[in-house]
Amino acid sequence: MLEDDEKPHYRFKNAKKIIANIMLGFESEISNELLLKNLEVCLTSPELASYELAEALGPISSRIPSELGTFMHDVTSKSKISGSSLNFEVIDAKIKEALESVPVNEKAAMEDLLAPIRNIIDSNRNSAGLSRLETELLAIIRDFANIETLFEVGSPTGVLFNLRDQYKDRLEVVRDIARAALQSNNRINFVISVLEKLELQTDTKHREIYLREIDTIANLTRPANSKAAFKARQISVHFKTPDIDNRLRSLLSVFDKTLKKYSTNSRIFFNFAQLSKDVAANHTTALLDILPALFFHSDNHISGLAQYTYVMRTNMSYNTILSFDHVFLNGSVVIYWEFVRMKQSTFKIMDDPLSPHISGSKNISKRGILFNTESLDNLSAEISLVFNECQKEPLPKSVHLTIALNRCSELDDDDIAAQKILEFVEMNQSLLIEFHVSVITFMILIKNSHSRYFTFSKKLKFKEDLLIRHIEPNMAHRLEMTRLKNFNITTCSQENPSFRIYSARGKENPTDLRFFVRGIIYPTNMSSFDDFFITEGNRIISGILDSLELLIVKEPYTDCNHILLHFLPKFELSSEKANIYVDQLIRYHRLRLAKLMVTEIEIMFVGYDFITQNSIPLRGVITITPFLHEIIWYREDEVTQGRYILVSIGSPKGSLDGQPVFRPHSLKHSIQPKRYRAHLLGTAYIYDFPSLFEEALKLNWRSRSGKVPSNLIECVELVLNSKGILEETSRDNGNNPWFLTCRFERFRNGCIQNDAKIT
Amino acid sequence: MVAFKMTLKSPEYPTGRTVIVIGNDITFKIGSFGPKESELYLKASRLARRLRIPRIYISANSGARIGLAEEVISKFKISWINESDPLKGFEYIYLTKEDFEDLNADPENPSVIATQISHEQGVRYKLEAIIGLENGLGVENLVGSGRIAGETSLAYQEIFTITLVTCRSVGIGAYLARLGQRVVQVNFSPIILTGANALNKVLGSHVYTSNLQLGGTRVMHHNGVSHLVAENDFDGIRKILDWLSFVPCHIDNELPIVEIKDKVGRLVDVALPTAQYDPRILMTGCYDEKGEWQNGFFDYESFQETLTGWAAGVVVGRARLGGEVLWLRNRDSNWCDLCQNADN
Repeated sequence: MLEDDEKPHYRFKNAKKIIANIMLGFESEISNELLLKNLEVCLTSPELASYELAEALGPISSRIPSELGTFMHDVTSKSKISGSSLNFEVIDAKIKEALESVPVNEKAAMEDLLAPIRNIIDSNRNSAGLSRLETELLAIIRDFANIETLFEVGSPTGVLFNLRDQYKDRLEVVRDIARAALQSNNRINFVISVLEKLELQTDTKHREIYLREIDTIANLTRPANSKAAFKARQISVHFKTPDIDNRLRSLLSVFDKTLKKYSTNSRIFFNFAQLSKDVAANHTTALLDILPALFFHSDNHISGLAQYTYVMRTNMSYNTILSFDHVFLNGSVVIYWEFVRMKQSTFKIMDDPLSPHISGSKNISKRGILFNTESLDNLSAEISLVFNECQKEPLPKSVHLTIALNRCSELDDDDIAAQKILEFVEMNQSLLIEFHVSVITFMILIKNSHSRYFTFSKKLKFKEDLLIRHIEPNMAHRLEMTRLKNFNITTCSQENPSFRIYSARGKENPTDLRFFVRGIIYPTNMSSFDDFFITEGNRIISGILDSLELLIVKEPYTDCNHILLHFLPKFELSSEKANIYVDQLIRYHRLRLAKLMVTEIEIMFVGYDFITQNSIPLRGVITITPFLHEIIWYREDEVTQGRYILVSIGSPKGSLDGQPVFRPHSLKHSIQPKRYRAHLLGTAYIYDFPSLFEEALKLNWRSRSGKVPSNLIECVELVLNSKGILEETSRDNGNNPWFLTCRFERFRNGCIQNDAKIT
Repeated sequence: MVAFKMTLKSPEYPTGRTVIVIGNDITFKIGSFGPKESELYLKASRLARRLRIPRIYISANSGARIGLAEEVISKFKISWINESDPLKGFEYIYLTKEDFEDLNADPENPSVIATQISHEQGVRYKLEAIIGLENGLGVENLVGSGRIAGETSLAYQEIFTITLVTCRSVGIGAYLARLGQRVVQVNFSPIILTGANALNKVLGSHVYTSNLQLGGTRVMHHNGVSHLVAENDFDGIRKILDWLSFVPCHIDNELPIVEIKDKVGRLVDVALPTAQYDPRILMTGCYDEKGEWQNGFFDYESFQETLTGWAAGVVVGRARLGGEVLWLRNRDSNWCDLCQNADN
C-alpha cells in the first residue's frame, strides 16, 4: 500500500495548494518546472480518479443505496490495484440507475449526496474534450489574465481603491488581488512556465480554446507584465500560423488545380517546368519545408511536380537552369536538368572550398539528377538504371546527384544514418566515379519537419561534409563558411533548421574560443517588410539567444561571438528604413546579446534601391557593447567578376569600406582577452577609457550646440622607460595603429596593437 | 597601471584642455599596487602637478600586492611532531640542502634565510624568513603605497583631483580615492579597506554578506565619501567631464566662461512657493502646473549637484550664471528621513 502522502490525490491536492499560493503572490520553495512536472504526473496517472472517488465515497457510503456503494467500491479498488483507468460512462449509468430506484421524495437529497462524485466524474470527462492537465493549466492563466486585466486601466492605486469600494465587506479579496498583482515576480515567472508548457502540448485541437486566454495576456500593457506578454504573443503567433498539415493540404489542392488545367487529354506529355512556375506563382508561402513530403505521393504527377518545384526553388538564386527533363522509372519520376553557375546574380559566386558543389571552373554546364528511393538496399542497381536512362546525351563532366530517401526507422538516428550512407557510398565509389558524380546528397524525408541532408563530395574523397549536414547544398553558400577559415569548426547546434551554431577555436591561437551563428530566414506568408522583420527577426534572435545560453554553460570562455543572418525574401527597402527596424530589434535584445558576449551581428538583405531601380544586396554590420550599439550599412559591389567588396553607405564611412565581402573573420587581438576579463569583473578595460571620454565629449557638444568638432581627443600614453623616466608615446588619432605599449615585464619588447573602437 | 595625457576639446575649451588620466589595469595581477605601479602613478601625478592641470584617477584595483615567492612553494617541507598524525602540529619548516643551495644560488640576492640543523636524515635548513627572488613581493609594496598616498594628498592641495571608482577599490586604492577627495562611484563598485570575507574571519561569524555592505554606494554616498554615483563607466566619465567644465584648464587660470542661450538680463520666473518646496527649483527652474518652463536663478540646465546623499539639509553644487561659474550652497528645510543601520 502507498503511504498517504504518496497517493496521487494527495499529491495532486498538495500541488494545487502550492500553485494557488504562487498565484496569490507568495514565494515557493519548489521550482516552477518541478511543480508543473508533479502536476502533470498526478494528472496523467490513471488511478487518480479512483482515489478521488474512493475518498468522496467514504463519508457517504452508508447513506447511498448499498448496490451502488458495492459497485463503486469494486471498481475503484480494482482500478487502484491494476492501475487501469475507470470507465466513467458505466459509473454514470449506474448512478442514474440508482437515482431512478430511490423514492421520489428522497431524490433531491440523494442528488445532493452524490454531488461530489458527480463533480469528479465531470472533471474527468470534460465536455470540451480538454484533458485534466489542460484544464488546470488554462485555469491558471485565466486567473492571471483576469486579475491583470483589472489593472490595465489607470494606476494600480486607483484600481485598488475602486476594488476596495466594491468589496467593502470582503476586504481580503482586495488584499489577495493586491498581493498577487503587485508582488508578482514569482507569479509571472510561473505563468511563463505554464505558457511554455501549453506551447509544448502537441495536440493542436484545442488551440482555439487556449488562444482566447493567451491573447488576453499578449495584450497586457503593464511594464511588469511585459515578459509574460512577450511570451504570450510569441505563442499566439506560433499557434495562428497554419500548421504543416494545413499548408500541405492547400499545396496539394494548388497542385491538383494546376494539373487539371494543363492535362486535357493525356497527362503524359505535359510540361512540368511550366506547371512548376504556375505553382510558384499561385503559392507565395514558404514551400521548401513541405515540398519533400510530396515526393512520395502515390500520384506520379504530383510527386514529379513537387520535385520540379523543389529543384526550381533551390537553384533559383544560384544556378541558371538550361534544360529540364524527366523520365518515369519503375513507377517513380526521375528529374534531371542541366545548369550553369549564374553569372550575374544578386548573390555572389565565389570559390568556396567548403561548399563542395563548386568546382574551380565556372560556367561549364553540369547536370543535376533527383530521384526517390525507398531504401538503401537496391540503390546501386537503381543508380545504374537511372544513369542508363538519363544518358540520352553524353554525360557532362560533373553530375550532382540527389537521392530522396523515404523516412524509415533504421535511419532515424543521425549517426547511424550517416554511417550507413557512408558505407553505401564507399562501396559504390567506383560506380559513382564512372558516372562522373561529383556531389551526392542524400535527403531523408521526415514527416512534418525539415528534411535531413547528408552531402558527400568527390573533393572530400567521398567523405561526408559535416559542416553542411542538414543543409540543402545549394543553400550552403549563404552560410559564408569560407570566412571561418582561420578557425577549426565543429557544429554544435542544428536542432532549429533556421540557424546553426558552430563552435570555433582559432587555428593559430587555441585560446580564441567563440561561437559563430549562421541563420537563413526563409520567406513566409508576410508580404510587408515591417511584419516580416518584426516577427521573423525577433523569433530568430530569441531562438539564437536561447540556444547560446545553453551552449555558453558548456563553453564559458567564449568571447566575440558572431551572428550572421541572411534574409532571403526581397523587399522594397532602403538602408534607412531597414535601419529603423534593425535598431529596434537590437535595442530590445542588446543587454542579453552583450551578456552572451555577442560582439558583432551581420544582417544581410536584398534591398530595392529607389535611385538606381536595382535590387542590391545590403549588409548591416552591428557592433555591440553593453552600453551602446552601432549599425553601419554597406552595399555589396562587384569589382571584378566574382569579387565583391563592401561599400559604405552614408557618412562617415564605416571601417569595412573597401574590404572584400568574404573577408575571413580575424583572430582575436591580443588585447581582446584582457578586455573580456575586465568586462567579467564589471568594468571597462582601461585602454577603452579614451574612447569613453570621446563619446562623452561628443554628447556634451551635441547637447550644447549640436555641432561636433573633429578630433575631439588627442591621447598619448605615459610610459616609464628603462631609466624610470616618464615618456610620451604618441599616436595619431583616427589611425589604426592604436598605441605602442612598452610597460613592465610583460611587454618588454613592446607591441603594436589594433583596437576596435568601442563606440 | 596605465597613464595617459589627454587633450580634450570640450565646449568650454574648444581648442582643447589637457588632463592626466591615471588608471589601474585590473587585468594585470588583479590591479594590485607593486613598486612599478606606484612609480608610474607617482611620476604621472607629479607631471600633473608640474603642469598644474587636472588629474583624473580611474580606480579599479585590489590594494597593495601581496606576493608569493613562487620558487619556495614547491620546495619547502614540514617537520611534523608526529609523522603519522599531522593534527598534532609541526616543529618547523625546512629545506633540503640541495633546495637551499638552489634557492640561494646568488649570495647577493638570496631567496630565503635559514639556519642549518643536523637531523638523523641528513642536514636540514630551518626556514627563518622568506625574502623572494623577485622584487615587489612584500613590504616594499607598502613603501610605494605610502609614497603615492602622500603624493595624492599633495596633488589635492595643488591641483584639481577627481577619482572614478569602478569595479572595486581596496586598501591603498580606497585611500587614494579619499585623499583625492572628489569621488565618482560607479554602482556596485565597493570602496573598502578590507574585504567582507576577511572581516568575517576576524569576527569569527558571518556578519557581512558582501563588500557592497561595507563600501557600496549605499554606504559611501550617504557618508559623504562619494560625491556622485554613476550607473556605469560611461555615465561616470560623463559626470567627470561635467564637473571638469566648471574647472579652469590650469589651476591659476580664470574660471571657464561659456556662451549661453539665456539672456543675462532675463528675469527669474519661479515664484516662491508658500507651502513646503524643494529649494533646488529656485536655482534650476521648473515646470509649472500648466507644463510651461519657469526659469530659475541659474542658467538653464547648468546645475550639477554633488553630495546628494549626505546631509540632506544642505544643498551644494556648481552652476553657471550668465556663463560664469558659481559654487552654491543652500539649505533644505524639508523634513527628511535618515536610516542608519546599527552596524554602519
